[in-house]
Amino acid sequence: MSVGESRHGTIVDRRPSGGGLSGALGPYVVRDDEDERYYGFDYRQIVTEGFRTIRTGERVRFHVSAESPDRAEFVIRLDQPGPAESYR
Amino acid sequence: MFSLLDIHRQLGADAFTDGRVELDACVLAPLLRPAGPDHVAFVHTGYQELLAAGYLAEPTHRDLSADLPGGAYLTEQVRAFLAGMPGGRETDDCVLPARAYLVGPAERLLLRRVERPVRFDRHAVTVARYRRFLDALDADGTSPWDHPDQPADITHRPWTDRLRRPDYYDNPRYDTHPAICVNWWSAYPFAAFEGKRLSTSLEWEAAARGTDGRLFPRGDTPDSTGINCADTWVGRPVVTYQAWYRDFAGDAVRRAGATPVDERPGNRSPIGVLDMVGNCWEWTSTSLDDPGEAVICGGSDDNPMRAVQTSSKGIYRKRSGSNAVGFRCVQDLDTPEIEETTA
Repeated sequence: MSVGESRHGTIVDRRPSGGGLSGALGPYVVRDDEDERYYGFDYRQIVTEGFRTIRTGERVRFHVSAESPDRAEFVIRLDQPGPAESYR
Repeated sequence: MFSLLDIHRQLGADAFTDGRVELDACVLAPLLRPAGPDHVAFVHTGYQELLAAGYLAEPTHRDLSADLPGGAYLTEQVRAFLAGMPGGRETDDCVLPARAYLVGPAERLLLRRVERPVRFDRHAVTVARYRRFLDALDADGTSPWDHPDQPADITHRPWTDRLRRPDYYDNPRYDTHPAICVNWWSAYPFAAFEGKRLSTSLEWEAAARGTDGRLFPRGDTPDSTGINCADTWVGRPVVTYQAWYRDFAGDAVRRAGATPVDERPGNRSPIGVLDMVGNCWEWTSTSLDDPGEAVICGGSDDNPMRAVQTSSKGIYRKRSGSNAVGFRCVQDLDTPEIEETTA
């Protein structure tokens, strides 16, 4: 469950340590554009049916987790190329 | 839109009663509506879409349409009609002929021309094949086939810290599994090492969906038993993101993974290329605005069935490696044929 309204933020950090023996799940950090608080999340929180990854600097919309107030969830990428871009 | 005279010309005098070439005298009147002086159009767009699909079923017509100024965009209904028409010829030589193909997602279907014929590898590159490339590297870890823009710190060794199975490249049990956790800068010289190259994203999609624009390599109907995707590991359709998170992202994601490239002979494209959707995404040579990224195609074991279609695409950093990303090579047909080794 998430808390309140959706927020807008920018990805400020990602650690290329997903997978491996530890099973760590590609941690990311998003900074809220409004209050500049930081929230962590893993790749499973990226709302997409396709490939899950986000670049540092990318803008996203997200919710704050009700169970873990320092965690982001339902993270949606906002700067995606149009579907015809791959066929230029 | 067409004129009543067009109908008379195509169908003859029997298309009208009383010898009058007027809409109310046309036997097709219930299907038509007035559209300006002496012109009519179909009442339902579905009729137009059926005619468009019939027109596009001819390869020469597809080529002409692909060359229209500004491009030709099609509806999903046209694609569905086209995919349902008989006559789509299947081959088994993995050769993608040069012609126009229907590509793109349902909301933005378009016709694009493949300019040169290429032969696809039947299978994604396997661990055993990639190991031969590793054995051929120079002592400093570089290769004679490296891309001229390759960053200095790139290694062709797979990213073993990230591999879910640490012995993936050492244990022979994985020889026929796809080569994953390989970055784009290593996939590129591997292809050159075999006298081949990576496909463009257009070539990749055309090879997967053939001339009728099918949604999955074997047709429009999803096959839950024949594709390695999240639905396979969950054991039922994964319909929404919430369902994916609840049913797959917890337990199943740790059980899931890429499996041998020759395990699903039914997941076959119209030209005989195997397992293009599901199992692992595949690098292509296509970059968009950022030359540090490349387009990947086809979806992997952790995507729901809906996202492992012939048009499925993602963008990934070239220097990254993922358990979900492998690659496949193609060969231009103006070079001597090179046999693909499957393991």
